[in-house]
Amino acid sequence: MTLQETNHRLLSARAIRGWYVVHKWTSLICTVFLLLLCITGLPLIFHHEIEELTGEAVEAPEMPAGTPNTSVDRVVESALAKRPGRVVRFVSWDKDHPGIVFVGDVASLDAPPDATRFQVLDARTAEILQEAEEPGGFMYVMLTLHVDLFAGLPGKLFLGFMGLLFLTAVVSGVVLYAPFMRRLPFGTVRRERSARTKWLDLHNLLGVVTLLWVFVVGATGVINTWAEIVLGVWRNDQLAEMTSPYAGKPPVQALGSLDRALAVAGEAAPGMKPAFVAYPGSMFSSPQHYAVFMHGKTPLTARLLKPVLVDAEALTLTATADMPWYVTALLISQPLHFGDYGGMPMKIIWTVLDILTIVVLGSGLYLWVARRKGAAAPLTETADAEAREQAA
Amino acid sequence: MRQLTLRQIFAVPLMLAVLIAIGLVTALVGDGIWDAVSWIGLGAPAAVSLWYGWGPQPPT
Repeated sequence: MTLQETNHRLLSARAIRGWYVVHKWTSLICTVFLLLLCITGLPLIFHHEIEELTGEAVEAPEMPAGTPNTSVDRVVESALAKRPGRVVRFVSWDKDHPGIVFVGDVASLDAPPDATRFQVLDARTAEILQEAEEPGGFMYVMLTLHVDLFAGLPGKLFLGFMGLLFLTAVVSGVVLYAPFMRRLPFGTVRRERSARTKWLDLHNLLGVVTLLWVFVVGATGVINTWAEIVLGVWRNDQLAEMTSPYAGKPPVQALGSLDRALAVAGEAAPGMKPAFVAYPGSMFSSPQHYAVFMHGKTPLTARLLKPVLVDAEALTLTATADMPWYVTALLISQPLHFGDYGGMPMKIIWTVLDILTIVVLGSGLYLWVARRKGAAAPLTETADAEAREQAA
Repeated sequence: MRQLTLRQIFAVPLMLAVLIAIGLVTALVGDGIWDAVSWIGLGAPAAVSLWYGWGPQPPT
């Protein structure tokens, strides 16, 4: 069968109509939310730069190169001295800012995940560089709108569903691209014709050109909405298995040295550095362990975590394992969604592609409105007529 | 104008998709030269969009 014949079969008038209905309805339902995601996503691409400008980013004071870090135990002690009665849940590091340590605490270990508050401390002096703050401000509003519409997990899953509709709209859009472009060379924008024709051409052009980027950012965004579920599965699966010898035992009584635990983890995962530590009783550990999450040093391996479980009292290695595929998929999908792994030029390209996507969404909406006004023949009829002509 | 085949219709979009895929993956692998390859791969669809969408009009 030649490609010409395939063309005939794939694009019967009925098939075109069916794909058009799919494209129209999936788009109509998700477009408003996708516009919101694209617009709130724009400042998020530059969150680091914006935080630096507004003074929200914390920088460690300059010190002579090679100034050694103080003990992590001292850093944690200093953090708790500032907030007596709080319980530490996480200690984390930022590979781009080696001079600082983040210490996250809660009022009690059973507090909800979003109740964690972080202090920023100097890794070398254990001085507090930034006190714990309640979330707020412009970037917080942008991020929360983008992630869950201020509606928690249901909000995330809802946006994830809108993302799935969007991906369906993208696929149906590609199928419809063929009949529309049967007589037009690539890149044609009929600017001399009606506004509708011009915007139809632009919609098709920008949509097909940015296709794979839009699909990857969309699909990884959908995967990110499942993060809590994926990590919940991991907790019940691999983490439970690794800590099974401790099942039913009482929680740790006296926490041992975190410095020692980090040394044990370093030996268990040579060549890697700690990304963060989940304290005993937090959601990413057992009641008896420091869960040290190690990561590598290249852009890719820095994203991949390897848990090392260290008995928080005896300070001995309990278990270590590579993350299962579903956590790895989640971790890889994050940079692919954020566009933060290729320097400033990549962020600028991400911005351009985001704006082009806004144009595709906006022109799609415009084409639907224009068609409803009945200003000209429905768009499908153009394609239908062509299909009939071809079949004849 | 005669009808284009599917291959003709999707030749350029497919090429751009390959460039995007290269661009998305290379920056994950390493920094420096890898980042530069990534900028070219991802910059191509942005440039093509702007050129055909808002660039100089082709002679008709």
